[in-house]
Amino acid sequence: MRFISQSSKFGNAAVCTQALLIYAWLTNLQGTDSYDSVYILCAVVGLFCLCRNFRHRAVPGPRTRIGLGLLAGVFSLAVVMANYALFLPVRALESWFNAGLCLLGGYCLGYHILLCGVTALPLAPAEDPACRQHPGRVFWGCFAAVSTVYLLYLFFAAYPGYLSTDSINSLRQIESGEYVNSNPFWYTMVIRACLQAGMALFGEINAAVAVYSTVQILFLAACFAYSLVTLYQMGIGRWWIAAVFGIYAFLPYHLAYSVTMWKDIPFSACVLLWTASLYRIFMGIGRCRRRDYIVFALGGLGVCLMRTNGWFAFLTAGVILWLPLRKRFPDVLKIMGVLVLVCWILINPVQWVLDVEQTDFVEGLALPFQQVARVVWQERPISEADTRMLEEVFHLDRVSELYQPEIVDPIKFEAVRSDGRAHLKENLWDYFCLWLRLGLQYPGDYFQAWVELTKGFWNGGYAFWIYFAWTWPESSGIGGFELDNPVKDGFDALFRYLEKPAVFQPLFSIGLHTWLVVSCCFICAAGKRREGLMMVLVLVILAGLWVGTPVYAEYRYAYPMFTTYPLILLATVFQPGLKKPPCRDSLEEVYDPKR
Amino acid sequence: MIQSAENRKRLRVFLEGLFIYTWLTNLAQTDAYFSVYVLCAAAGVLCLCGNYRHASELSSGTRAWLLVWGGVFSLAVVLANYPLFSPITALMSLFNAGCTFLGGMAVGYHCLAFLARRLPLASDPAPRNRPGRVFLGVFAAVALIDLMYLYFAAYPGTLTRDSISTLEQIAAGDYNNTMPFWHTMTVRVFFQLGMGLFDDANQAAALFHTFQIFFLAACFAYGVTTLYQAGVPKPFLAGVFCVYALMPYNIAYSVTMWKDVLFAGAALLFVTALFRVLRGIGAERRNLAVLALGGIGFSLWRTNGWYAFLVTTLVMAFVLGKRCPKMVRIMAVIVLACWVLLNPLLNVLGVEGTDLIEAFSVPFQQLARVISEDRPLTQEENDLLSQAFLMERVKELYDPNTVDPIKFQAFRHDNRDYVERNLGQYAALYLRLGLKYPGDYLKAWIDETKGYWNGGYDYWIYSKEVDMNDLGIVYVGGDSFVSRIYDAWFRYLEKPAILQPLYSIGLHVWVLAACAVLLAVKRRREALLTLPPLVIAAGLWLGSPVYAEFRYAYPIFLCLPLILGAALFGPDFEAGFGQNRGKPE
Repeated sequence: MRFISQSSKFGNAAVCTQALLIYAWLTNLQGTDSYDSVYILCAVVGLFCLCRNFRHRAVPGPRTRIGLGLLAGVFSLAVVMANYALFLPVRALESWFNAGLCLLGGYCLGYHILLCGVTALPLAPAEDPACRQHPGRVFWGCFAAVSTVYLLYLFFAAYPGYLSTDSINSLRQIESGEYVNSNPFWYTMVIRACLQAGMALFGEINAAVAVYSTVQILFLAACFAYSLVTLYQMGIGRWWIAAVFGIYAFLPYHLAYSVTMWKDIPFSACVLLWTASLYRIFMGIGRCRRRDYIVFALGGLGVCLMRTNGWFAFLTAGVILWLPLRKRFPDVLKIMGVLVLVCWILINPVQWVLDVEQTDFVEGLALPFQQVARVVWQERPISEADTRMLEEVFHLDRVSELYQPEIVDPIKFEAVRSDGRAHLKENLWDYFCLWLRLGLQYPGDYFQAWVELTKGFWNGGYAFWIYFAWTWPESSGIGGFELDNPVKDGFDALFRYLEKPAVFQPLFSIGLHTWLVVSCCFICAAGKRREGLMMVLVLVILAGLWVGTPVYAEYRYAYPMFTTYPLILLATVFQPGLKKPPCRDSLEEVYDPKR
Repeated sequence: MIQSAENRKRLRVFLEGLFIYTWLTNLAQTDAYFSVYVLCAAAGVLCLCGNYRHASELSSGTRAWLLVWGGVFSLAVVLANYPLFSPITALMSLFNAGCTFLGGMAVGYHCLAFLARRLPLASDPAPRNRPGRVFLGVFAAVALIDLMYLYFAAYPGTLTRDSISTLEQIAAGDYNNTMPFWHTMTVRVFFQLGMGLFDDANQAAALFHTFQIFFLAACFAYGVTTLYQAGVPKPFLAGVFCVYALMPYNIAYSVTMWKDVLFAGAALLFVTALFRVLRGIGAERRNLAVLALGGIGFSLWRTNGWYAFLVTTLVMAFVLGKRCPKMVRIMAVIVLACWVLLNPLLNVLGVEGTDLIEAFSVPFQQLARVISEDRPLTQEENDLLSQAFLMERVKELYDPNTVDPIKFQAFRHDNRDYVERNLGQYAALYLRLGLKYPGDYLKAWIDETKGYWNGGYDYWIYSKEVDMNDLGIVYVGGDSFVSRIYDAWFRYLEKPAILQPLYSIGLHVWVLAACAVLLAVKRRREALLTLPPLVIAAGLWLGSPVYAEFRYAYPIFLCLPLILGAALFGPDFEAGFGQNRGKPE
């Protein structure tokens, strides 16, 4: 790659060859079941970057080049794997040829985009951070604007908020006083506090739910405003800040999620708080360091408590951060250590004392269930002993009927025998061995099962539901309001015009945002910039989805990434203090055209 | 100031890139070849980047022409994909169509602006002294490949319904001009010679195909040799040779008894000879002789060929009347002679003329669409239409992509006299309905002709069969090793989506039109080379009976490599040859 990008003799031919490979990549992906638009966007950006790298003779260092090659290869492989159905039958020469071209094209694309990122970034922000003197005003302004939009949406278009079966389940627990940790207990407690306050104030369940929605809106708006004010204090250009504000305030999923009673929303907001505060601490943004540490701790607390797997993700992030931060930012690690300990106590001993039923351990076995189910569904020969073992846990005939490659729920809820879970728990090691045995026997099926179940989180984007814009079941006595007003019409039109056109699909693509965050992390790492470390928590959460999601493209699971990516992206693109252009007021003096 | 200008430029490039992305995204669900759009978009982005720092190198006049080109190109794409932007009254459809149009315009403009800046490329300065060897080499190679295909894989060649109809006319001695009479005569010479020599219909058919193979091989060799003599670099020459010798459609057509094949060969001969005359390559007298031969074939071997040649001659007379009077005179003589051969002589020989309704494909299709859409018609309109069409059958049979069901099954052939007597009334009715339902007319035209001006469509290209006949010709084909190699070769070149652009009529027409625009804005006389194939394409835009019939556009496929070579590489004044030696144009 270095040879062809540098050689003047073969330069044009190299650009043409690589452009042709990118053309072959995009052409071979026609007929994909994921969003075409995401691939098209990548190809267009890739071609721009190819030209830019060629013109600037961009050459990375040897280590960076290895990293670039690896990541580009992984990107390309991800796309080919997720679209394996396009390259079947795998024995045909033509399939190999197409897959090979696709791999090469994807590699060129990934390589050039990343190379462009590594060599062109970071840029200097529009202004020196010192010029940004009014963070308070910006914070409150953004907070007020975002919360006004969300509140308008709540009271005119979505009253009293959206509740799915999960939300109703939380409400039933609160009603009965019998708590289960499948919806995190501490999150249920937050709902409980809001509902009790609402009932005390208004004496009506819908109003109480609306109180919860309002609290969530205010919290989310505060988190977004915190992110925006961080960008402001970095010295980022006003248009960029306006764009991020537009994303937070007007993208349909943020609006809909702000009024949806799901654990994922406060969890994602806490991830944003944690990430933004860590960035501020790293870069020394703002004057009050103590406040950043407090926000950091609050964010961490929310991360650990608001989702069942949050504590594990937080612990993993802490372990990863320990080495790079142990000398320069020991306070960060101390706070994280304390949080891990406190939250463990809150999640375990306290809940034992309070007699809260723990999460069903089968929840963590989504992928193995799906892999075994695929082997059964494909009617592969299984030994008698193994069949007997499987029959102890599953209704095998139901497995063949119910298996859906993209979701494990039918298997988990309808094909597992009533006593199967207990049996599985008792014989966990034997079943682990069985799982391994079948995997070695049918690696193709295991691989396909994994691809189908997780591809939404690492490839392109898929047309899958994003938010739940009603209350269900309606018999719960909540919702059922027929709202009909111009504000609602306005929001409906906004949703329609942003969700329907294919050109906006990338805004809703989990995979594209995953690639974006991973790329940002790589670019920061290649530039030895510590900003990359703030992405650790988001990446850990994403990696969790790559190994164990129950649904292939469940948007809310990836929502932490959508709350944090604007900050991550801009923190990668711009580096405060890189160059200090004069404040806007004195620009004319410095750039006097007569000089 | 400087910084803000640079920022504006960056913003413009960013927006243009965004529009190109929108263009491609909105076209992702097209029924045309998506790969063609991807190729155009990729070229567009590369050229956009290439033009980034050189936008001011083109004059404002050139930029204006290129913008017009970009607009036409983009409009063609949007129009051909109109179902993607339906209902057109919806705000979102309008927004999508608008963004798609802007994106297409950016693609079209930047591709041509880039080429306009860079072309012509330098020719190879090395002396090219062996045209004879090149000619013979290419001729032998192409003929060998095609003959092997004929005798080992497709014996005795492909004869479709049209070919059998030609042979049946020869057998019966009863001719009509639906299959051009002079093409039938050409077939007759070889078929009867074959019957005389072998007394076997299969061998007689194979003899005609052998002649056709030699004729095509000679045309291809003439084209390649001309490019060789023009100093075109060797990799490009090798590419042109590969296209002529190895592309499946060229191999398959060389053994297919269709008027379109010889016609396309004649078109290539004519264009090549014209190029030689314009560039002064080789001996003038020989060039003019080949030009005359090509012109005669062009005029006689397809029913509409004479009209295309007439238009070409008129334009030539206008542009080159003073510079090349000899050539224009020859062309005028050919026009006149061929008119005599096609009209008075055929009348004397009692050859039935072409069916009048063959020329009414688009009007038939437009009227059929109005009827099939159940548009309100007045009693008078209904009565008049009922005299020409079986109205219920029209609704049943209307196929947007071909007029054949309407022409053969819904038109009242029993009432043809009535229609011919009242042609004026029908013309008025056609106009009246067009003014009343312009949308239907436009859609009918688009669906009937889009294959010739947009992307490319998955439609049959050639067949490998002998149609049912009483002449004793049976398809033998072949099951040899050679046959299997050809099968594999065809499969691997036809199946992959990335090679679809090689078979796309629309893309070839765009490239042809782009060459015409580029050569015209550069004021290069080679622009005239694009005229014959463009006239053929324009004929298809106005009256094709099928939306993407490859053989109708075959002359474009044969002429394009030569035209592309002429457009990309300028005359080499230093090396010089022929009359133009040392004279810059």
